[in-house]
Amino acid sequence: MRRFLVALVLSTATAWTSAQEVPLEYRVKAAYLFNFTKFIDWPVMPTGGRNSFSICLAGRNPFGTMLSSTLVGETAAGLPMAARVVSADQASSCQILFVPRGVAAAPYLRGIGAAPVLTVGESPDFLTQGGAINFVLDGGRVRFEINQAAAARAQLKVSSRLLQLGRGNDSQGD
Amino acid sequence: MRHWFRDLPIRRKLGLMTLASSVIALVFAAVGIFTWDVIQYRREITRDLTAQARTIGENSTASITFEDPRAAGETLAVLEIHPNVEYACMFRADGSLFATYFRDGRGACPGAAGDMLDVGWRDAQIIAPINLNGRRIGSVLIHRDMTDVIERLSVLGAILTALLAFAVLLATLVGHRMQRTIADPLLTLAATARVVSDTKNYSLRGEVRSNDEVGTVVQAFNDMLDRVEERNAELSHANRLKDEFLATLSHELRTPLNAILGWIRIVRSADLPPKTRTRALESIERNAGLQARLIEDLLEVSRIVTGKLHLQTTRTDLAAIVDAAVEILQPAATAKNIAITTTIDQRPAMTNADPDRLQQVIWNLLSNAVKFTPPGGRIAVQLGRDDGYVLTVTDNGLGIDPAMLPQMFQPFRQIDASPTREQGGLGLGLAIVRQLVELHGGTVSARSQGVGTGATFEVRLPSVLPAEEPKRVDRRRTPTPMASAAGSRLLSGVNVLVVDDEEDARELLKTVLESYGATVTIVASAPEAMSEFERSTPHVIVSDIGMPLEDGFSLMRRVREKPVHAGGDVPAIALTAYASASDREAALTAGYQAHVAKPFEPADVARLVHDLTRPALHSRSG
Repeated sequence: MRRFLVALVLSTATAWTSAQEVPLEYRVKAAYLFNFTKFIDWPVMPTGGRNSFSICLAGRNPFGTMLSSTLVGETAAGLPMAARVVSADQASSCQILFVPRGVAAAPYLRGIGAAPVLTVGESPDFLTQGGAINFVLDGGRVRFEINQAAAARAQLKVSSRLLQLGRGNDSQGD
Repeated sequence: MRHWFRDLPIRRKLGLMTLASSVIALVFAAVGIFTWDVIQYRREITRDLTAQARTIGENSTASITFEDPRAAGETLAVLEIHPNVEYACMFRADGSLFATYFRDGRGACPGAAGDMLDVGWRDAQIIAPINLNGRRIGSVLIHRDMTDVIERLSVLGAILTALLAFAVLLATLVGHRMQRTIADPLLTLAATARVVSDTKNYSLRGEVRSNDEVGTVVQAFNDMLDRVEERNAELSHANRLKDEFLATLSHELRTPLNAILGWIRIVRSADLPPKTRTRALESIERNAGLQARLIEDLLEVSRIVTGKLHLQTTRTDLAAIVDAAVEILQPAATAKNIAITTTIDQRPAMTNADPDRLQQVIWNLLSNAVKFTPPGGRIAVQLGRDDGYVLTVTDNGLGIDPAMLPQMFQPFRQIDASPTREQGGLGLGLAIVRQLVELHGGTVSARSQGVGTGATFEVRLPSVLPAEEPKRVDRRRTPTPMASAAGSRLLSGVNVLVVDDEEDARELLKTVLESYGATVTIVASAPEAMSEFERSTPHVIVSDIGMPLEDGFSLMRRVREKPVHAGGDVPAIALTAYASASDREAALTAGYQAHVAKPFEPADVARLVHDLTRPALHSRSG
């Protein structure tokens, strides 16, 4: 099964070399971050000089070059996708903010406020802190929980098909 | 097969036809319904499978994207509500199996083939793509059995079969009732026709029960029977009339014959005083004349009845004809001491007519009047004008029973009436009169106050404007003494060749012509005549027409082929019993100068021979 998943992720990734350096878990998570854009609608906003759909990484980059190369040529909401590492005060300009394990989520979540940013974490208390999606490992497989209230607060429309897969519930967090 | 059907009774034919048409109609309807249902079902299944595949695909995009076969399995499990779906499988984009559903809990999925949709008789299968944002991320396969379709179609088949059976039963019953309305009248008619033809009972009639073609046939059959009955009645009536007529005819022919034969025996048997002898010969002549007239009348009636009588019309002076007729009848009237007065308004009275026939009309009316008027009576003949000409013949004789008046002009009718009976005669005279007058476009009627009051006959003829020259009236049958002293040398020096196959006729003609002073050679056939002709050319030929081997026409053609110096232009008279106008025409065409009907008046023939030979004798003498 593992090998199977690897194969799946590899089929969507283009950089073979970087893939070998990144653990399988993050390779799957990178794909998932990208795939979320297909099941979530962002509110239409004035572009404000913005010319890309940004997947931001809070503090550090656990994906190496893998995420960036995954996004090459891809679009979301009509904009080319790009990945970058941001600090807490830059977070509100992102569309997706991934908070890796070991980075404190609170300053970032505060920095975002009510801005339409999909927050994704991988810590057990991420949803409690106000994050929208949290990756969990279930028997070696990457799963995710969804805090629907947090997503709604950020004016994001999450597809029911995605909700069906998310293990989370609305009672968590706010 | 066709013959087999053709000979069936009409009832069976109608029944089979009703049955066949309803069965054919129903079978077609059943096949149609069945086919339509199958087509509809296939469409429905196609639609269902497509919809199911698409719904499942849509609902599985996230499951595939986020690699969650459990969620996909749950989506597939929704197919539970379709009991005909045996199994469903979901594949990833690379064709690997992703999720499954089995109705019976377990089974195996076939490998992912290309997209397809196949609806068969036993099962149906679809493989449809799963797309996300226009990109293929997997595919779904749904496989179902067709038990529901089969079940539904069998129920439909059973219903249709039941309907068919029911309809056939109904058609047979209804058809049976309906065919009776058609077949029964026909069968009745057939039975009636059979009885009629077996028993010859034409008084039977078919019953007209409907207003359709069958009714028409029955009506026509009845009309035909009416006609047959009428014809039968007419036939038996005509037969009765014919029998009566034959009896009368035989009596009328026998009566003069009796006198003739009786007197001849007396003349032969003893030396009679000249006075008695003269009386005997007069009687014989009168009776023979009577008989000849009877026969003439009969032939006349026959010509009229068969429509062979044709008028030879010419411009004719009616007054002259009346005068001539009165003149002819005058001796008979004088003998009975009957006075005839003639009143003619205008002369000449021109009309378009056949003079011979008109004279016959007047002669008939006059002789009737003479016959039925007792001695000392009066007869008035009047020719007047109004729109046309009106000729009346009035007598003060026996008169006519008014009841008889309408029938008087019918042929043979008078023979029933007792006065006629006493007077003798065939009762043809007035019938001939009516026919001849009608042929001239006129009418004839009779008036009488009753028996003993006399009678008036009125002939009305249309007139035409007077023209330049009236035609000379032929006087037929002018009574002439057989050999008058004046005429005895009329034909002296004339050579006559007489041709007739009958010896009596030959001898008679020879005697007559010799009595006028002619030299007569007699031969019995056309070839003999030709050889006699070669030997010595006569001044005139008198020939019969109807002869065995070679007739008078042929003889005359052969004579006329000769050159003039060999006698090719010798005058010739046809003397024949063929007396009609067309016979006369044929004789003249063949080359005869004249045509005389038998029995002939000796003086007429003598005068004719004289007239024809005079120029020849003159040219020879001068």
